[in-house]
Amino acid sequence: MGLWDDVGQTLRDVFFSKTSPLAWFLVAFLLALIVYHFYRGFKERKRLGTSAQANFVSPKTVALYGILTALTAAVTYASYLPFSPTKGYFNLGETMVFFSALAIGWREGAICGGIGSAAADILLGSGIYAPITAVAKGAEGFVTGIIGRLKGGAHWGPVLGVVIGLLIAVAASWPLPGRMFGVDEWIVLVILFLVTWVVVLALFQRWKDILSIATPMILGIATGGAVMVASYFLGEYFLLNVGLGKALAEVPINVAQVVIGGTIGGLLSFYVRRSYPALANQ
Amino acid sequence: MAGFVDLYTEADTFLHRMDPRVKIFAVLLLSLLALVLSNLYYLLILLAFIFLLLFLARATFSHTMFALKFVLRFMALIIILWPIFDPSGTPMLASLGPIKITEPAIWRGFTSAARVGCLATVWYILMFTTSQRDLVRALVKMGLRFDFGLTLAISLRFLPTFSALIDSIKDAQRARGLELSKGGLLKISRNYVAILVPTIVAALRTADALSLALQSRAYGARADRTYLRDLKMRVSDGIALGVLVAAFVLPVLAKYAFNVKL
Repeated sequence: MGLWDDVGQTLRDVFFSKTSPLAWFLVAFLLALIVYHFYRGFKERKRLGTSAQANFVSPKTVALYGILTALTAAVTYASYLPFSPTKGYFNLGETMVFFSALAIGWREGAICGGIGSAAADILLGSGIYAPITAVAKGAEGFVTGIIGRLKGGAHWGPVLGVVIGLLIAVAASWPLPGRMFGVDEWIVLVILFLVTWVVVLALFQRWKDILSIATPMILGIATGGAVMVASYFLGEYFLLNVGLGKALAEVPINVAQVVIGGTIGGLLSFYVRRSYPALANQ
Repeated sequence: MAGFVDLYTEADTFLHRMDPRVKIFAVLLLSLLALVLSNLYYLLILLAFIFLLLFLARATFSHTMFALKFVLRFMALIIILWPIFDPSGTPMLASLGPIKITEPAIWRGFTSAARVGCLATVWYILMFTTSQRDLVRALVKMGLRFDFGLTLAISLRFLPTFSALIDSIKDAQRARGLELSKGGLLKISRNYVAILVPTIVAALRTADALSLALQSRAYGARADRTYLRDLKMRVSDGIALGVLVAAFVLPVLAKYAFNVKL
């Protein structure tokens, strides 16, 4: 009954149907990437003689990536809180993904978050989740690292206004019945958007010193978290084929995990930078 | 929480002696087979075969229970929740408002649970019988770049170290009065900051020291790294590989080339 049904149907056709070329293209692209990586490894070893200059990544990178991966897995393992059967398990591994992405960089967030969380899944006895976890947490670290590490500043006020205004307008447009108070739906939405924008901008001016630094971080955590929750849902529903009920049951836990993990991960990236200043030079 | 579970158990069975590359290949093929089969009985046969392998690998009872604890809960949830959300099929057994429970939906739930069981337990054949060192070496031998393999080896080696470190920092902070068992989820999580900050700082220091150690041992000086012991495929490995490929290819051929319902 309106715009959003058509948009939803188009999205379903493009991304999620089994005959969609885009979905198959994405799968094929990922597979090709993995095959290419192994092929490069083979050729490199064939080509390099004893005298050739080795082309390895630097020892600093090897050490940092190895340590961060181990740390992500260890924190997930140590903070594991088992809940009643329907709730699965809750852990603070998320904090390490957000921390690596925010304090060090998107590469570390993606690689160490993905591989470390997958390793923890295997060690905690839920190895079936490991492939999905690697993709979901990797994508989360990647997105959070890209958006969350943008520079803070005064220009974030209008951006924040646009994002929150759009979110509220979208949320409000679901139950709208086409016409309201005798005016068209889109006029109501535009007015709602503009009002939100002005309110957010006014609040931003008020708490400029906090919000201008925290905004990219919050947006990054929110976007990365949304990516993670969506990847888990899609992976469970389409890949493991566990049924809609089980897949939906996981969503609230994952959202709670993002909220708590994001709060602590954001705090950690401040605290650790303060108590370990060398981190800024990494 | 204190004990760190190392899944590998030392033993001398044919699965332990097998080339790790063959084992990795076996896990991949058996997982694919579980995705190809869609009949409950064949999936149960596959599950029984996986358990036979676990038994032959002399997995200890506690290890097997550790592997099964999560999987059984997961399977039970699928069996319970599947029929509630799947109203298709004709012989309807019960209905309550919008929820309809049908007979084919219940069987579909069981099939999906059996498939998930196969996918979840097949990992442990590899994890129980292969040491971390062999696993990384097999991946490097299969074409993973050596430096990436080293990174993986470092992370696997430091996992128990950091687990122990987190435990001792937890004890130290508890001795200073930190509460970790009282209060709601949010409060407990907030208190974990006092544990995570020292852990991360210690880990980053370890990373610095480790990079110096790598440099001082001439990491990356020679492109062709040599090993003391090299992996070699033996005749028995070849036979195992042949049997596995046959066990995968025959059902797939039967299903897709000759249209046998599997």
